[in-house]
Amino acid sequence: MRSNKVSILLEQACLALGLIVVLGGGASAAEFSLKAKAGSMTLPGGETVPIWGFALGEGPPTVPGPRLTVPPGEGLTVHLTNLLPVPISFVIPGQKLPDNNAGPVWTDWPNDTVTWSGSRPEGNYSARVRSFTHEVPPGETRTYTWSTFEEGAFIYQTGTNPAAQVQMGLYGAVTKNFSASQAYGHPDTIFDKELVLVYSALDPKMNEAIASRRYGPGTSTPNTRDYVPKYFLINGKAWPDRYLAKVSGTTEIFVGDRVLIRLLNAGYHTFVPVFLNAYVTARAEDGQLYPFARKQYALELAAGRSLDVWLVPSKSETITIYDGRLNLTNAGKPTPGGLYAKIPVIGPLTIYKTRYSQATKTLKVFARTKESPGTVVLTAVGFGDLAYRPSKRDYYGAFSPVPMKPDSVTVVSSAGASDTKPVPFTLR
Amino acid sequence: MRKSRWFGLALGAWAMLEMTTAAWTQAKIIGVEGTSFDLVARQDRITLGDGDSMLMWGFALGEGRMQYPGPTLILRQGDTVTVTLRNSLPREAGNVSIVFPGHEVTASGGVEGVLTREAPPDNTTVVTYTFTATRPGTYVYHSGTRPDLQVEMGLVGVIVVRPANPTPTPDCPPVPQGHNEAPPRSLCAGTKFAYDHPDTAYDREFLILMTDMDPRVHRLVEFGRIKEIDTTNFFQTVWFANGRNFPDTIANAQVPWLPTQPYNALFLMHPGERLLVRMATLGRDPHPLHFHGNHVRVIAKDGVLLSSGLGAGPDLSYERYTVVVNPCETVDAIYTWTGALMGWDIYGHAPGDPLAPYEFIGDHGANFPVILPSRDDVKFGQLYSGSPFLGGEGFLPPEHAGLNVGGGFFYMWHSHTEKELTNNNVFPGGLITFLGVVPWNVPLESE
Amino acid sequence: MGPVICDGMSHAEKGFLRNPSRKKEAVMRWKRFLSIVALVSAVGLGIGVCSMAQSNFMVQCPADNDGIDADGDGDPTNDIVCKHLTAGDGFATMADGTVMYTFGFSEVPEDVPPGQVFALRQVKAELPGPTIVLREGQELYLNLTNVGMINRPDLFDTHSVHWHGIPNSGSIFDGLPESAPTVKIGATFPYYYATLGKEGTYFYHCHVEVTEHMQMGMIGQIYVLPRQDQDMVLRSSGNPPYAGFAYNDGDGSTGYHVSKAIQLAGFDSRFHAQHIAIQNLPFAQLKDDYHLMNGRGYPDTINPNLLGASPENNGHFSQRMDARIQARQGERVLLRVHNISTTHLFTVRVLGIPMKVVGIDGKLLRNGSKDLLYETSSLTIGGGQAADLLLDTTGVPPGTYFFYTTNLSELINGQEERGGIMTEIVVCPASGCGT
Repeated sequence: MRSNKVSILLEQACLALGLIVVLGGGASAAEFSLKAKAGSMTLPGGETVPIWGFALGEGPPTVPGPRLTVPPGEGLTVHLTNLLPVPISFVIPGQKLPDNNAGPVWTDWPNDTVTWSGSRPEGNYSARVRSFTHEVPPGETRTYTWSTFEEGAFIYQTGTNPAAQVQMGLYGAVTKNFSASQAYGHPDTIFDKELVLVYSALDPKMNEAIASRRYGPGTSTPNTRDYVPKYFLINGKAWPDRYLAKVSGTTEIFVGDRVLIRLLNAGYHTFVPVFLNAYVTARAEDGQLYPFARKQYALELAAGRSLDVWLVPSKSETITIYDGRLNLTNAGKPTPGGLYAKIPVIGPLTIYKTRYSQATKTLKVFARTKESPGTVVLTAVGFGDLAYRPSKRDYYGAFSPVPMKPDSVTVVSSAGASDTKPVPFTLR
Repeated sequence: MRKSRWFGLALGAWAMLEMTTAAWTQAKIIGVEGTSFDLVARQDRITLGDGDSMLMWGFALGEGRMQYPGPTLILRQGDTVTVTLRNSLPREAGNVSIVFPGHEVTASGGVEGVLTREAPPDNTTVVTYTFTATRPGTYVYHSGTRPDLQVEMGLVGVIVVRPANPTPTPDCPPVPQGHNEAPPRSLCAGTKFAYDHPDTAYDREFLILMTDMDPRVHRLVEFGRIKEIDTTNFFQTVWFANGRNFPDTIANAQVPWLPTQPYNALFLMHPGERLLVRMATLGRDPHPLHFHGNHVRVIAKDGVLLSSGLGAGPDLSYERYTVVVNPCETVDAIYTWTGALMGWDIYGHAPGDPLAPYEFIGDHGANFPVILPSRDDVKFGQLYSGSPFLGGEGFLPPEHAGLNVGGGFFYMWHSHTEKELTNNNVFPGGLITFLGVVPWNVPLESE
Repeated sequence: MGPVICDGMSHAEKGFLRNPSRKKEAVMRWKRFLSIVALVSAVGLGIGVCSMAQSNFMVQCPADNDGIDADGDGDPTNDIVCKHLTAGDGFATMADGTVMYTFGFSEVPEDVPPGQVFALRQVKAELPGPTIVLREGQELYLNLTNVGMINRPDLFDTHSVHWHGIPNSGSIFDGLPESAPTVKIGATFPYYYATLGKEGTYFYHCHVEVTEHMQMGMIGQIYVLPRQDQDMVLRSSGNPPYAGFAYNDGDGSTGYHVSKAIQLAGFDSRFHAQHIAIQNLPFAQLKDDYHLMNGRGYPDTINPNLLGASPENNGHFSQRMDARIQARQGERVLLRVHNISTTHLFTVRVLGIPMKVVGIDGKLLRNGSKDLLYETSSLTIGGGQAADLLLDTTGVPPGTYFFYTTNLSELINGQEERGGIMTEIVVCPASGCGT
């Protein structure tokens, strides 16, 4: 155990940077400092909407909030700072309530002037719960601890007036695995790549009302009865946002990878992710393994649920997922939007881009391979070797002069894989 | 309370003509068999249960009119299947395509869309989809282009894949414990199999595709105002079983007055038979399908047996009295009925009377437990025979149309989201259909 | 003389008369009513009667003197359960104070004379209707009297009881107006159900004009306790001993100490307002805005008092059931949950207590040797579905936990927020509640 002074300094430094701190002595716990803040979000199509979200450190809040990872064998401690004008709290459905839970908190709704913590006042049958766990008053910081934390994928979210607050964006994903490459204790839960997809929805008029405090008793938006979501998001993005492909926690997915896809629904309605040209194996729900795995192509992703499914791509094609309930538009526009997800799969060797310039007579070839860098040599047949670029994690070759645009180019690797792709015509 | 006037009239008229014919029901699903299908997306109209007419986009087989739902494609496990698609929809509809969840499809021709290759509305370009029907089961297909609009408009269909093994046999259903024996083999429909395992055996087959509709969308299309359609505002008010609203669901299949809605959803079976119920949903909402009469045993979902491992068959099957089918999902289940353990002889036998096939021996001769009220005290259902006994008949009042077949027990199979049992504000309607259990002396088609 | 065909006499009557030496020597106890006397004497003489056989308020309820202990509880005289229910209308009060017109069932107390059933049981509809609990092996004679809808005297709807989900049922007692007789105002229909092999969670509702009658509140709970409840050895395998089991599991895996039945439903306030105003009913616009657990929206779900006694309801308490749950730490809680909403599916969760699904739709989640019981924090229950949820409070710190819908936008009572489908589970210290 370090000296107190050093440990405090380290803790403060790490809290400021929002990094994981492993406490010395006894059970370890991952520790995070989350801040709940107001911010704004640009929706597909350009509309901006006020949001309330979580952030680690001083940056702006994100929707969903930052992905939290609890290392194998550890517990979790969250320090939550409330920079919002209303009380909030913290829950992780699927886990027990925090060890230090001092809630729930009831109020004398609709006035919300009197609060009771811990138990309902005797004989009072009109008080309504406001928070499932102890609250963080505006401007203050409170802690929530789990000395033991269940393995699985879960949504962390505000536990205060959830119907109003969760849709504002106060949610994110927290995961804990059995080991770096195994999700649960069961050997069938080994994975090579882990992909987290947080589904959610947004009704801009609700966000506007709640952010401007025109929500609740006596206002024009007294409750969520008229909640009609207009935007449907995966990890905060909607089609055709290309960055959906860059989902958190994963690098490239290769053919043959055992991919663990963790789908979580932070919205209020069921979504039905449908996998095209593929079946997945569903093994766990809400962090609990099913008694038997099941192969299916359509998943019932109910509100608040998490599903762990495994997919082993057999071809270097894109994993395509769409919503069977057809939430496939951004605010009703006729162009494709909403819940399409496309995740590229790279073959053992994949040419992912080719360019030919007529002006400079240069052929550029970009490729990726699943082999570790330095263990293979990639050669564009008839042109020359490609070189590894650590910053891009790819192989690149520019060949000149190439007098005529070739119809296609083939790249072979010394490991025996090969790929051929057509070369498009470009003017530059 | 505002009961549809149509109920009595329509039910009486159509059903009287069709239902009283013996041996009218088929033991298997109506569809098209083969390995090569040429589909064309076309605009046309359908008739709703309240008599209204609705503009639709649907799949046609070749040059005929489109149908709702699209043609049920009946395939054989192992076949390589080619489906071509041409787009004959109006220009404003845009491109069209087909996706086949559960199959690995290679698409070619046309233009690249988000999900698959698409055919522009030029009535010329042909897009080709090829796949191998690797696994038996029930699947759906639907347009992969702007599906929130095009599935709503009707571009939907079902695929059934029959297993290579085991092959059908002309056997009667097995006799459950405590029941009387089977009838002569010639009366039985024969044993077929849904998947590659003997525990997926069935005698008759029933398909129900559940869909929903927001008529406002169709009217906007009809009046040339597609641009105003905002599918985030969907509010369904019409519901279909196999493309029809009740009471059309229980009229006959392929009737001339529903030219673009060829499929029905009425079924008859005998006690002891195993009915394979193939369920699918396409549209915006899940539907909880509730079965009066007995539980069903769910054996497969999305074309995959609920199985603990290769060769184990559906050993993870479970029973339900209501099955929620989510959009794009498919569920296969087996339904049986014998009236066991009801505590009274359902045939009204005296103890010395001969037993009926598959009769539950324990209740044989047991008295009917109550005295039914006087005729003045009750209202009789149109599908009531006049007698509480299977195969019985009894007095029916003069205003009664007498639509019961063979003294059968008629069970409503319906969505249990009860608002879905209406046709645009009129009850009854929507997602209602019936199963009739008729005694063995009422012949049903066998094969 | 050939078979007697006349008013009121069907095959049923003939069957009943044909074999008086049946296993159960039925001695019918008739409620005295003038026009029945003739029928009774005619029955005794063994001839059909062609007079106006009035079943009006006749309750058919045989005595159990067959000497057989059908439910295995040691008493051979208690295997027949008689219920006399009425179908009529009434009013319920929502958590925001709104009084809503309802249809519903209620139970006729023993001391109501037959001639007074009609008058005394009007505007007594309960929400939910009376709960019926049976032991496997018992037989239920459920007599349903239609007392009419006094607030809508223009309506002449029949009513019925549909026991939702009972396996291998017959049409005559299935309650479907299309395929069975349903009972008119002023008359009584005798339903009969045997429960052998049918342990589990079900519910009942009227099936006449089903969208309307269910939306208006004609819903009730019914469940069958398994035979295994009589197995004292298995009961004491729990620590403390189990109060009962959800199913005949053979190994105690569905054993519980506390049980609560919870019915999810909903009202569309506009529909109910149009109804009492004798206007056209807006079926196409149906969308519940008051979501209910056992007939109440939060916080009335945790109110232990009888509710619903409005002036409209003549001061009669129509909502007699709460949805509170209380258990001592270490106990197992069985929640029999079903959804009977006409417009919504619900996903439900218990926050902080592991929730194990042990049964769905009246069947144990087991197929032969394959156990299909599973744990989750989100169970989706569609209309017409039931689920048996077992909560294990071992190691759960004493406190208040919440059972609610994750479809958070439905936590409403009309215009109120923080209402709807939510109730509280109080886990007391192992030493006991009431400290």
